[in-house]
Amino acid sequence: MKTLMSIHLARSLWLIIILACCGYIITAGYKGFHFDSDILSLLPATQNSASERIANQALAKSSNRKIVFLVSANNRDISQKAAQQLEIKLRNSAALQSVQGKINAEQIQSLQASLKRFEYFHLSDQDQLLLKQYDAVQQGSEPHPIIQQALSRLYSPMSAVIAKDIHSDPLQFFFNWQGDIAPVTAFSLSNDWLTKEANGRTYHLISAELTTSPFNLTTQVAIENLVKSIRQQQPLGSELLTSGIIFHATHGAKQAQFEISTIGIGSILAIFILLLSIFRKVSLVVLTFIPIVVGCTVAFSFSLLLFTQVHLITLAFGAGLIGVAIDYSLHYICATLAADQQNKVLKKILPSLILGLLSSIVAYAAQGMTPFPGLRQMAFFSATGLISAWLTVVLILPIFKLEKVQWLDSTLTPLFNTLKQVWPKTSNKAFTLLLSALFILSLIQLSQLEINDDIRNLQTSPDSLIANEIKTLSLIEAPSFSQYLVLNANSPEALLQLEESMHSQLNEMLQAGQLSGYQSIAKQVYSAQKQRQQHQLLQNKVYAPQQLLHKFSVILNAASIESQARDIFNNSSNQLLTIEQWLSEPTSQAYRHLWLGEHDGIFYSLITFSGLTKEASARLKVLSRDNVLFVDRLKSISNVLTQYRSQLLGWIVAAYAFILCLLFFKYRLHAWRIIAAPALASIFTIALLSAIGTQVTLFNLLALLIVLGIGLDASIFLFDSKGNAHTWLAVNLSTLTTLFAFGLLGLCLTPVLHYFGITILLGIFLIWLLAPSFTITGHNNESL
Amino acid sequence: MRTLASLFIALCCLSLSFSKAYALTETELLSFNSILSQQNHVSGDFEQIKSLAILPMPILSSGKFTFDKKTGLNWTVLKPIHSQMILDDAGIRQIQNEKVVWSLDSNQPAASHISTIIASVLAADWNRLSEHFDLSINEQSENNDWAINLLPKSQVLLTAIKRIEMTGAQQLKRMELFEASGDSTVIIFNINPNQ
Repeated sequence: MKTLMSIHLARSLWLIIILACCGYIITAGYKGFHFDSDILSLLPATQNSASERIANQALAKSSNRKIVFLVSANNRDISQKAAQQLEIKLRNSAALQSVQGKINAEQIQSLQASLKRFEYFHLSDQDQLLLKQYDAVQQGSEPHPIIQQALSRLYSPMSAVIAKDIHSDPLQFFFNWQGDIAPVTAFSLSNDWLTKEANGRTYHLISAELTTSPFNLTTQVAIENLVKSIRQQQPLGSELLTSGIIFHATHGAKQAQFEISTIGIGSILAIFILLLSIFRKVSLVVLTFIPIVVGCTVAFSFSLLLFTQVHLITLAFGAGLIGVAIDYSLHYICATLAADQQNKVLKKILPSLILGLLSSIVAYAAQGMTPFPGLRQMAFFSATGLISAWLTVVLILPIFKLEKVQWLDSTLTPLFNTLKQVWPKTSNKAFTLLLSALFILSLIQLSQLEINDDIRNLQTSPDSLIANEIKTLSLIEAPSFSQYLVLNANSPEALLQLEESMHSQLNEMLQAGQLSGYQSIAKQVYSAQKQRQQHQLLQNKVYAPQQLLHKFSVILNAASIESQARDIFNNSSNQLLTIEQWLSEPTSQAYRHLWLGEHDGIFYSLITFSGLTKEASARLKVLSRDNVLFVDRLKSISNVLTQYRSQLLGWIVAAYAFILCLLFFKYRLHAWRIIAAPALASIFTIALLSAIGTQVTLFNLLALLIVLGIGLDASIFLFDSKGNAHTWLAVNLSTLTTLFAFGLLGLCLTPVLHYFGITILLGIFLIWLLAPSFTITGHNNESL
Repeated sequence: MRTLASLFIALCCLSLSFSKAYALTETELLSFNSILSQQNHVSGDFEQIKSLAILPMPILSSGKFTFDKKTGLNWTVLKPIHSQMILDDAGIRQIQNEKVVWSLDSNQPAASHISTIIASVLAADWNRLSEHFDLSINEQSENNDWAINLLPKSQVLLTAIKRIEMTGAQQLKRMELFEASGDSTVIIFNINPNQ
């Protein structure tokens, strides 16, 4: 009586939780679901240091929202017309917060004016050298090279553009400095557009910034439609190239959405038809499905609650849950249909159900302990779903009274009983020999196994999208963000001095052709110490009486220039250019992302590279020290995959050991029979995948944990029921349902899902073949 | 890829690249070519008068030049000092004692576009000029004297140069650049007869 009361209580409680979850999903749905589709969020936190973490975050933030459009045609006018149309369209889109197309004169003027105030504190590298090397008061016929250069520019047609600053900077130091710091760019200004001539075409460049994150589904739809309409309406002969995270994010999200619906609908349909053909009663099939629906609902709502954003791939993987969560209902229903007293069934199979659930949870828990955020989410989703489905089977299904299915008793049961007799067993010498031979062959195959840890395996974008991106990037010749230096110091001044100390080595590499360029803030704004040196240099060698300025105006026969320029220099502000000031100037726009700012009292900055060769990477790696770190992102992610893979093998062994201990309490010396099938199936699966030349990755190995979790159920139920017909029916049905669900996952184009799917598909199939051999022989007459 | 911000770059750059496109109609091109036809090779002497508001006297210089479509413009100042500049597609290089002492890449900031303008003027390359200027024939007298006005189309170019005037008869005789600052640069050419 008391147990009945507590069952009622648990049942009501469970119903309330289910209803609450439904309510939560509905309210969350009103606000709109925001799913994460960033493939990178599946990756582990690779950062070994604060520097790397800060740099990666900042780079992601500054680059995620950028989009570049390249319009081209083989005729300049057509290309420009297309660019103009494109800019208008982009400006009208709410999904973009800023668009930079045609450049206006004010922008240029404000840029030029912005640094002019600090001209006496910054000298070009060459001017510094010349001023230090040559003695201005040297006697001789040749004028100082600085004077020589300034004069020859004045005497040439160039004077039309440089002479306007002659009153404040007659020796044209500012002009030289500007030349020094301007980024070397592939595009130049023509008719107020950034253009480039290449491959017989004229390219016009427009850049834009998204209003939201590129992973926002609303923004993805808006940009996709925008680009589609631009492509449809662009002038004849013009072509559009694009680059930006959003295009890949959009593709990834669409693919994942498609796969979720395919797997979801596909597996539900396939399972429905399968069950209908066996049970031949719609009511029974519906009953089997109830735990799945509950499982998915609860798992989804708990994931929404726990994670700020549910990843689309989590949902796709979760769709495979359908094939697993149904196992408990199948076992319950098959057992009930075969039983004479339905109300005693649950009690009889409860130990198997508990063990089955526990083993699956252990597997998912192991997956949940990986450093991959995406995989953790999947593990949590699956574990929650399984527990909910299980609870529903145990608490809700017994409410319903099931009608016998005659066909099962009359036809299927005898069939399975016959199968049981003829199925090869471990007592069969020839069969054992065959298994041993296969085992040895597999080990030989595995000894040659090469696991691919290249992160690029996870790339979801199709080749055409990648080709478009690569073409755009090579035209832009933009610096790479996959390899860079992160520097840190206790103050902005110390950080700038640190960067300055790196320049000589970087310049050496530049001259040796090991890199084609580097981007460093200390080139744009000198440290206070260096700025004071520059001013001192100008003071002593140029503006002091009898120095360069004087000599220059004597040669030019223009004394008025000397006095005016000296007055302006002497009365100029002695305010240095600070990093804060620089960040607020329009000139810094192209370089602001290099300044990472202050984090916990330490200041960070980046130096990025273009055209980095292997030699340069090697040299830069050696440069790394306490406050200078060379980061190679692709390599460091791949390294983590490698590192993690070696740990994973340990985890798998540990999971088997743990489960073996768990099983030992119940099965004693027969425990090995329970795990033999999943263990052998796992070894055969990986050996087979490698034998047929499929790439084996970390994710195939991870899937082995799931194979263990799901596969144990079959062994446990078969062993516990001594291989009786109804259990075997349930095992067959649950294997088929799992195969449907994960088989469809194997068809996924999303690489991670594909690796998981194909491994589980093979593994479960092999377990289905092997489990009966180990579990229904030899012990039939022993009682436990 | 992602420093697309650095594409803003060229903001700091005033470089202009000219390209093959056809902004002039056939008839227009014919009428400009009838005044002065396009040259692949031009050489001669020049005299440059640079007037600056802050100086009572203009800055004078003179020398010789060679323009060749393939090798670019060689601008040699002989007076008051000796100096040589090569202006071509790669940019501007200043040569002293046969060594490059200073250079400006064509995609680098500031003044490199001036070389393209001067080269196009000397070559009478009306197509190239018309991409960046509105061309108009100011006067054309009976003894074949002519004046052509060049107004920049680009707002950015206008911040440096207000307009350019070319005058000549059989040959180009003079060009004057009216700068946004109010100063002006006059170059008087004495072009060698066709070699």
